[in-house]
Amino acid sequence: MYVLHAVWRADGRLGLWAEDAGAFGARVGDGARHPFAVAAGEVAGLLGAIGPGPAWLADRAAERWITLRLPTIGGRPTPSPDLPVGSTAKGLALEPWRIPALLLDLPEAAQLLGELFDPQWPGTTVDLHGRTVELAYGASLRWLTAVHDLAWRLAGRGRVLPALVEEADGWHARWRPAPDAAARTEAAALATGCPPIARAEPAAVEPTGSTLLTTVLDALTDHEVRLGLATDESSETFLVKEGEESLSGEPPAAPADWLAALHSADGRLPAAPDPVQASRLAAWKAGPEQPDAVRLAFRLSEPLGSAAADADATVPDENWRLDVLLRPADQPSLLLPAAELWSDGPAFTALGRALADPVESYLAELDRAARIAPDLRAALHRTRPTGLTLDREGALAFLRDTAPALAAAGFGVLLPAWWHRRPRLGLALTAHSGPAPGTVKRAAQADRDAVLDFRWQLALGEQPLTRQELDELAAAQQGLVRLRGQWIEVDRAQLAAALRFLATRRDDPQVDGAALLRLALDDDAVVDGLPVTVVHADGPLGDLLAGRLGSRPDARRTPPPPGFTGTLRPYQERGLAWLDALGRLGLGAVLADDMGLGKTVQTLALLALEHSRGTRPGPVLLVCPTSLVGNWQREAARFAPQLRVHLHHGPERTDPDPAADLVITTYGVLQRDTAALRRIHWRRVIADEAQHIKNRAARQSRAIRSLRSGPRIALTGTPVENRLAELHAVLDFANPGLFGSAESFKERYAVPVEQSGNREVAARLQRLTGPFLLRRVKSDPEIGQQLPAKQEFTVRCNLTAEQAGLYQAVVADLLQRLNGVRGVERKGAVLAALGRLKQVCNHPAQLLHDGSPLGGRSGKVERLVALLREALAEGDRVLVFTQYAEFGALLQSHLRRRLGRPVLYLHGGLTAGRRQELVDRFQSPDGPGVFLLSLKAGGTGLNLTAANQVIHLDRWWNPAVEDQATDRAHRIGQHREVQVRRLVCVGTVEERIAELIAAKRELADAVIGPGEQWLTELPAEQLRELLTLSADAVGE
Amino acid sequence: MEPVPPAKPVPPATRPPAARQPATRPPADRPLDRCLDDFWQGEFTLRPVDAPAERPAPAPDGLGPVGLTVRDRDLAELLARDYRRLAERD
Repeated sequence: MYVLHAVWRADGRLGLWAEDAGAFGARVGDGARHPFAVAAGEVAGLLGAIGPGPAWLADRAAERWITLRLPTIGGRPTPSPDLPVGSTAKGLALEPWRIPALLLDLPEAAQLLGELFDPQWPGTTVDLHGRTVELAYGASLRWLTAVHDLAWRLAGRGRVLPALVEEADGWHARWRPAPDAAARTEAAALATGCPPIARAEPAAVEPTGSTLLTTVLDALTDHEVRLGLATDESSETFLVKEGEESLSGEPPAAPADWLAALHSADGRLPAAPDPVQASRLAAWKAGPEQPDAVRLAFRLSEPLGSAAADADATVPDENWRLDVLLRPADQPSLLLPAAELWSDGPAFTALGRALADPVESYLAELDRAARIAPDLRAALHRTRPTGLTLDREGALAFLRDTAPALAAAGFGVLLPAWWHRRPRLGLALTAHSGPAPGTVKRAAQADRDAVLDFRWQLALGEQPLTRQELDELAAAQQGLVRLRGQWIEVDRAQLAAALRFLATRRDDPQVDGAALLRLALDDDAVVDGLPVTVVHADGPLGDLLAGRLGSRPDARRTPPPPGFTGTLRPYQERGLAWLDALGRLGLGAVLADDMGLGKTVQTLALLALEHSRGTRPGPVLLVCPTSLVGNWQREAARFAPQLRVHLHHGPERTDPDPAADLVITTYGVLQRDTAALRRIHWRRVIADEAQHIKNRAARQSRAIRSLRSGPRIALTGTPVENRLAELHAVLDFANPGLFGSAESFKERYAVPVEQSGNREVAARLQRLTGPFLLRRVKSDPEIGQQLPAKQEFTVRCNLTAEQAGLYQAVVADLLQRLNGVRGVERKGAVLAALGRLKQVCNHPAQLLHDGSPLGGRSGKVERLVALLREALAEGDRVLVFTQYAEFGALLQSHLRRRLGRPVLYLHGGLTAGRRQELVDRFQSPDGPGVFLLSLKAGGTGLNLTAANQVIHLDRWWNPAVEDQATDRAHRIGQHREVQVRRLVCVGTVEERIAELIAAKRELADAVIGPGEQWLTELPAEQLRELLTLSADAVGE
Repeated sequence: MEPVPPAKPVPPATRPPAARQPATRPPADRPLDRCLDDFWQGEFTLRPVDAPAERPAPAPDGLGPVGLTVRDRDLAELLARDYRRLAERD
């Protein structure tokens, strides 16, 4: 009499062994060898005696020793009850026994379990060596044949779904069971009825019946499906054939790879799947939420005993608990433990009101969850599934991977609160001002504030770690670790990198103040693969980081030095403190206050302050547009008379004077005299109206960047006119290299902000640039109190019949030209036509260039004259901007004649001196009432607060440019309310684009280019709509 | 968690059967060293080979397209061939 037993091994092979009744009493014990288990060859003989199938399989099996933990008494294992030896002794303890066995790989194991499946008889009679013997099938073997039978039916009935699974040797595509209700019940019964002997293989984590069932059922189901599809040729047309290039090419594995792997022998994927595609597959498997189904929520609880009393987890407790909770459909806020389903309790009552079979509904929904999270199938394979116990590894997998997938599929997920704010393992950087013994001094930055003592430490979140804590982490290696009473997730590679870093770079002299600020402000800052979680600094750096310098109302203020004749407003004193602190740290600055808030006076106060200290010899170079040279010269003489100012400008200019305190030059002269200017090492270089250097490739940008200097300052009222790339150009001028390359800046910030309107990225960018860029706007409450209001109007004008005829002719000509024209030629044609249309809207004479008189031919000019008459009658004074210098000249004489008053005209053809003369004349109390300016020459930098009205005659279609021009009048020093009017011709392209800009004001910068280039890209039909004259365009 | 509402009478058809009442932990869920009394036993039954076979619908029925394609065909459509093949061989 023999009893045949089986064990499903952790290595995925089936082990077969047998007890021999005859040997029970005859054989004596031999150490750990099982005394009455037959030799492996005899097991093969028994299989051979059953039939040719098992015999064939036995030939393919390996003879090995296996170890099982068996009930033991008196130094011998107890016999199974099927062995007729008359012993009924129960074991006193489990002991490991070495047993000879046959090991079968998965294909042979599945076939054998199928062969031995016999629901009628728990064994058979065989002819062995000429004698008839009884061969009983032990409970473990019968249980495994039952599991195989279930797997075989699931496969045959299509109750399987594909899954992407990461196994020890890589990613695989597997066929996983997707049981219907009956099969679920059957699986649960098998899990509950699993005989302990089937679990007797020693293991680090002892399997339960349900986990063993899951393991075996998964393996057998996958095998049976592959077997069923092995000769399926219908799918082969969609598979990657041998020799054919993979559809996916490089990793990650694509659906074509999954499909191929589902039909291959081993299911192996060439690479990890794309997470987004994998989650889509998981969501598909879960199916749609059932409207009447019970809702489930999963609650993960950390191990008991992890209270503060055991902060360092000296007693490790691995029992993480995952509970399933139910939400009745009619009471979604009620969460009930699933265990209550099996009692006549409130949960059953609540669910019973809405569902015919609450338990089945619950199991179906749990099955839906298990398709997303296969780990949950172990819970499903219980008779009364209520949850799972997880070890740390399982808990981490649930927190990291399963919970988000379940939440995405509509299940409730309740995680420990700390998970959402778990601290990261990273680096803490501490900096102290002033040299410390043993630290490296940086010669390049002579200021004492620029010399810093650095110290790196490993940190958990913002808290530096002690050596002992580090050692504990190193011992734990990876996974969830408890430290200081809180759980953290430790990554082995990250920990190794951290320890390596500490060994080599604890005191790193490579970090300067600028880099330290960057590390502190960049949320994604990484050093040697480790995130920088906190930066501590004292002195000016600490002030910058803490916001104690800059725009905050309580930020530090620095009064101007003695000898400075102006008075700074509080926000200007804060600006001075900020400029000074950055300079002392050797850092550049971008002062980007709104036009009119006193960038000039703050800059002069800084130069006066530095001059008063007398510690920094050498001149400062200030580069500005030609129109502002006189302004700087006069303002310097007025506010900081102690500065020796040298004007490096004009045809008679001499070499710059190295003994001067301030050398003023223009962008044009800078280009011509770059070599001479490079010979001097400037204490500072200041770029006024720094939007002039926003194009990095332009000659003036290259020239100013090539100068040798200390900290640089960029002054601009419009750091971003159109694109964030401009901001990078200005920031990079002030602090070269600190903000990365233009390309990386575009990728990280410009694209997400401009194309997707990503507010999170925008906030990150603001945080990153904050310490280096100071911008106050007129709408700031403090400043608003010091500025009068500004009212803006759109004034609509009609075309005259002459204008309308010309307009239509231009449009018709363009549309006719566009037929068959592409690329650059098309763009050129559109731009030229737009220009002509705007000229028509201004005045026919501007288009015709015929010197004809202006009177009565333009609705817009007539309206302008009316507006100016009205303003002058009120005693107001007006700035009129046009982008067409030639038309401005025509207009000047026309307006002078019509108004009977002097009209000034500032344009690019005038010398700097003449421009200043005009500005001074207008600003004088009895100056002329109308000042006509070309937008390009007069739109920036000038202080024209004598005007209280601004008229934009034609449109540039860029709000920033127009606002800049408006700010000539609406700035500090203005005491009257300012009225701004934009003249627009009704029914023309002017009006339509104005509406477009108004509708998309938020996106205008992203959508609309600096000029009219974007219009050239429009398809013909849209262009026609935009340009075509509407019926209401012509006035009476 | 909100308080559980007072129990209403439950129709007999939806009352939990006695078999669903809590029971002692089965050996399959117990640590092995607490299974010495019934170490070799399993409380399960093998499916009778002549049991009526009610064929359930294949698992993907009602799931719709996956939304992932191979050569412009949805994965579900391609997998459907496999399910038909499995059914033919059952």
